[in-house]
Amino acid sequence: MPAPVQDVAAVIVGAGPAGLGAAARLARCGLGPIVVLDREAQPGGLPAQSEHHGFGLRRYKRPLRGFDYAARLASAATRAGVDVRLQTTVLRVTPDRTVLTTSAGGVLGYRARVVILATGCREAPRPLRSAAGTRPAGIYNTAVVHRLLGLLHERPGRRAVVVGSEDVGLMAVRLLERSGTRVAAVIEELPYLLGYRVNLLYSVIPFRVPVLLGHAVVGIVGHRRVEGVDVRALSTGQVTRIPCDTVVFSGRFLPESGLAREAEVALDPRTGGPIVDQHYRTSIPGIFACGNVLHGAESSDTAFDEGVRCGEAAAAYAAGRLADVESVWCEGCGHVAAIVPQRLTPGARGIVRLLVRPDAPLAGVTISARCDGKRIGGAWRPWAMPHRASTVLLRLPLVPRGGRLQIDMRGHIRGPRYASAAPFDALPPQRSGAFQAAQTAGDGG
Amino acid sequence: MEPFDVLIVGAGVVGCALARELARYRLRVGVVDREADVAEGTSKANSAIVHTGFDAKPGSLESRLVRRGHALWTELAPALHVTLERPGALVVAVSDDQLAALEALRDNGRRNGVTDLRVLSREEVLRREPALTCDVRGGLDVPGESIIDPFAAVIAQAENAAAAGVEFFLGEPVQELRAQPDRYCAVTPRQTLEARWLVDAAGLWSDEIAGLAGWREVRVTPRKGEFVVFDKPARRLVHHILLPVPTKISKGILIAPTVFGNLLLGPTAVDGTDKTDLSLTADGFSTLLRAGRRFLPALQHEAIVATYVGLRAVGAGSDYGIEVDGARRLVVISGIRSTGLTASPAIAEEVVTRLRDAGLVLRPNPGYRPDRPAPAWRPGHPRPCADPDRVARAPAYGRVVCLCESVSEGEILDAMRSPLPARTLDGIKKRTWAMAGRCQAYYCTADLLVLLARQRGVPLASITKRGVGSELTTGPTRTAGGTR
Ligand SMILES: Cc1cc2nc3c(=O)[nH]c(=O)nc-3n(C[C@H](O)[C@H](O)[C@H](O)COP(=O)(O)OP(=O)(O)OC[C@H]3O[C@@H](n4cnc5c(N)ncnc54)[C@H](O)[C@@H]3O)c2cc1C
Ligand SMILES: Cc1cc2nc3c(=O)[nH]c(=O)nc-3n(C[C@H](O)[C@H](O)[C@H](O)COP(=O)(O)OP(=O)(O)OC[C@H]3O[C@@H](n4cnc5c(N)ncnc54)[C@H](O)[C@@H]3O)c2cc1C
Repeated sequence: MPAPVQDVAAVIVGAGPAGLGAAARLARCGLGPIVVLDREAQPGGLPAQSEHHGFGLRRYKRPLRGFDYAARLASAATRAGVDVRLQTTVLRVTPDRTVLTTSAGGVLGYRARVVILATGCREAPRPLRSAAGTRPAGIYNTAVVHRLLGLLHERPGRRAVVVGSEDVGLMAVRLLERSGTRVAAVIEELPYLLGYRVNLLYSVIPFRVPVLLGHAVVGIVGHRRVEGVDVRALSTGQVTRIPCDTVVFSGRFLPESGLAREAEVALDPRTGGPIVDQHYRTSIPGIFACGNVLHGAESSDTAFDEGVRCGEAAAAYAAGRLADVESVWCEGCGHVAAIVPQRLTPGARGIVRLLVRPDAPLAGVTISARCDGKRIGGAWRPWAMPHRASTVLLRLPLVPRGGRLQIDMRGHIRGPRYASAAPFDALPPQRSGAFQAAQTAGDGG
Repeated sequence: MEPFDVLIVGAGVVGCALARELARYRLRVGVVDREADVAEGTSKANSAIVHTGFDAKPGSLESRLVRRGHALWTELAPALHVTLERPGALVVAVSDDQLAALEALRDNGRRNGVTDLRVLSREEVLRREPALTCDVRGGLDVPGESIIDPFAAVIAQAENAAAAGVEFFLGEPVQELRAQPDRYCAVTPRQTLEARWLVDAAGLWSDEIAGLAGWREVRVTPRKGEFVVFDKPARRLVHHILLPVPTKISKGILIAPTVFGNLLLGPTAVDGTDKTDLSLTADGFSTLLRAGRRFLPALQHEAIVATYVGLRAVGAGSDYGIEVDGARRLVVISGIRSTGLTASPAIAEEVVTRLRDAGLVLRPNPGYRPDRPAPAWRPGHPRPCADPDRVARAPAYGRVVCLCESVSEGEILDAMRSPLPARTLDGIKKRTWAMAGRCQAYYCTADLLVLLARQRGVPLASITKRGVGSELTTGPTRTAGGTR
């Protein structure tokens, strides 16, 4: 028996901020049924699983709790007439915009005029970060820790090492400590703290957890359960073993682009996500993408705003108002590691936002957009970090047809900062004993 | 209690194949393993190739049993619903010396009864494998080389045996063996198992078990083999198993598609002394990547999804060691180095023949069925979650738990209810391939824990990755009910 197929105006995969933002916007255009699909039991994507404050600052002018923010987005979408279908997994999207789904209710296909991929991102797993050593129990990502603690109220271990100093890593320290798992250290390969200093002050320092900057995990030991991690100080080469029963790999977000790849949407090797233009069109007509699936983790506001713009463009496309004009590549120079959107379609009025990520932590950053050598826009920033995009606004009428568009990023690579916020002898003995080469956190971006 | 007719120590592929072969007869058979599941030793960490035996030493026991094993798997795989594919292998020569060695290799294969080998020109090799390095000088076509689901290869044989009445004792190390005039007493922490015949199929530890049984000295040392698994998109790069020209020491580092749709690179070959050392070394990792890129330059752009390590059981001699002592009613199987997955059904046949010769009475078991029921899914076949009829009949097949591999709750429950039920996360992984995809359990760990705990009626903290000591969590939080 073939799966039954429903005809709808639009299918949005993923009920996170991006997907819900796009859906609510599309629903206001009266195109017909708009369906949002998500595998989770709650709408809202990542925020729906987060208890902490800090979501939707731009949109609601105050930091909301993750699940409150998620609930607001979901009810706004539902009020706009969006059909949100949960506990439904999208198995496949085909280039002809058929979406195959499964749920306890059955296998169901959708044929849509527009498909929007808003599948978010996930943290890089251990094999991509530190393969050496054994494979015992007790190796997690922060997302797993969140689920264990937040949903199941179950402790992942007794003594953890957190790898990575992005905000998620720092926040995991607080979460673990508050629930009774000691954190032995936060390990960061770069000589800088990646997360915001406020998270260091709020989530790490109160628990007197050392942050070892310029240190790399070179091996995991333990037969059945983790027994320790071997950490190398990159400045001296010295390797120390930190005893622990849990290792939490945090951050280094990768777009969840499996569906896009299988749909034969062209991917950008630099981001790992689909290549889009400023209308969030992918390489396949009628398939759009927005949110963290494009670039890895950015704030919920960024994902939501992208969703809204994507919804607008998708509505225009469905109404036949989005012309197919030859687009130009945004070519990166200098310290540019990745740009989203990768392509710009010239001609239209208005302003586009480019998200630009550098290949190294930079200070005194100038970003400039040049067309055939002529400067057409740019920005200055005191600093820029590889895991977080800087935004540049470009006035579209200045973007050339068929010309060469270059985005250049310059700045000083920031030198190591090993400030001693908490000298080692001041740490409780069980924490300081194992490693002397350690340094405590410096200044974040 | 009546003693077992035969007690097998070791539930690897060799022990389980033997258990299945013995299940054909009216015998009381037991299998004991110290791990919580079958296939937890070397049998879960190999190259997953069913070899033709073309490169074996002609006239050796290994050569004969690998040939026979290859033939047996062709019938066994469909009967047991084990995925077996036959992409064939190309031995790739990248230097003049290696090119010259190909003909000798072909002749060696002929002496082993593998007659369909053909030396290929550089152009022919590159036509078949366009992604190969342009340093290729020529190749040897080995059409019979096959790939198999190595976990199902063990589990299916074990389930088939269990369904025919063989008893499995898992999570029970044999700590002591007492030889009495008419029986052996195998002491585990939980009980003493008595048996007339004892089979030592303990792989790397066959020396230890032989020692406990009072047998003369057996020597087994571990030779480490490390592997890297590439994500599915890499599979498009190759169409065959790519083998280097073998050296005296090792078959070398190969590149093989897997039945799961990944691409496998490995193994290294490093002699060691620690039989528990399953760590991947930084050296091994870079050796693999270098070797892989040398063959397939495009590999450098492909994402790695996993790594693993297996230990070959290297015996004192260069051949298999299979000894059946009728007087002591003892079978010692050792040194099944790097072809045991292939040879296991043939080893089982061989051992049973020799047991009969040594006086074990074999009467057919009328209840024995050589096949097993088809599982809801196996590699290379569509997942049940995409099948409207199946989901309509059993909604649990529509609840996807593992996103990357599209594994449903239904398949996981099946794995927990099979004749040899999965009781650990690794047990679920080996049977369903949940957690083995690109996210490596990012999305599904918590859901799987809940499913296992609910199904088994135990607290979350007693769910393990692979048996006692590998618990996933350590109990409820201090502030259970709220973790703000
Ligand atoms: C730990 C953590 C803390 C954060 N804290 C903050 C913060 O304080 N403030 C802030 O502004 N931002 C924060 N963020 C970032 C914010 O959560 C994300 O930017 C935002 O959720 C991205 O939205 P999205 O819609 O792109 O993706 P997501 O929210 O990840 O949503 C993607 C959805 O797609 C679904 N999906 C994927 N594949 C399929 C499929 N095949 N079938 C069905 N459904 C599928 C997923 O289930 C998911 O619900 C945080 C992120 C993390 C990880
Ligand atoms: C790197 C590598 C690549 C390989 N590639 C291939 C290949 O492509 N094709 C192929 O055919 N073969 C291959 N092999 C070989 C194959 O994997 C082995 O020959 C085969 O798995 C051996 O099976 P076994 O049952 O003898 O041993 P094992 O699987 O190790 O089983 C022995 C069992 O005995 C148990 N045990 C040990 N001591 C005790 C005790 N005291 N009490 C209770 N139980 C005990 C262990 O727990 C274990 O489960 C490879 C091997 C390696 C290492």
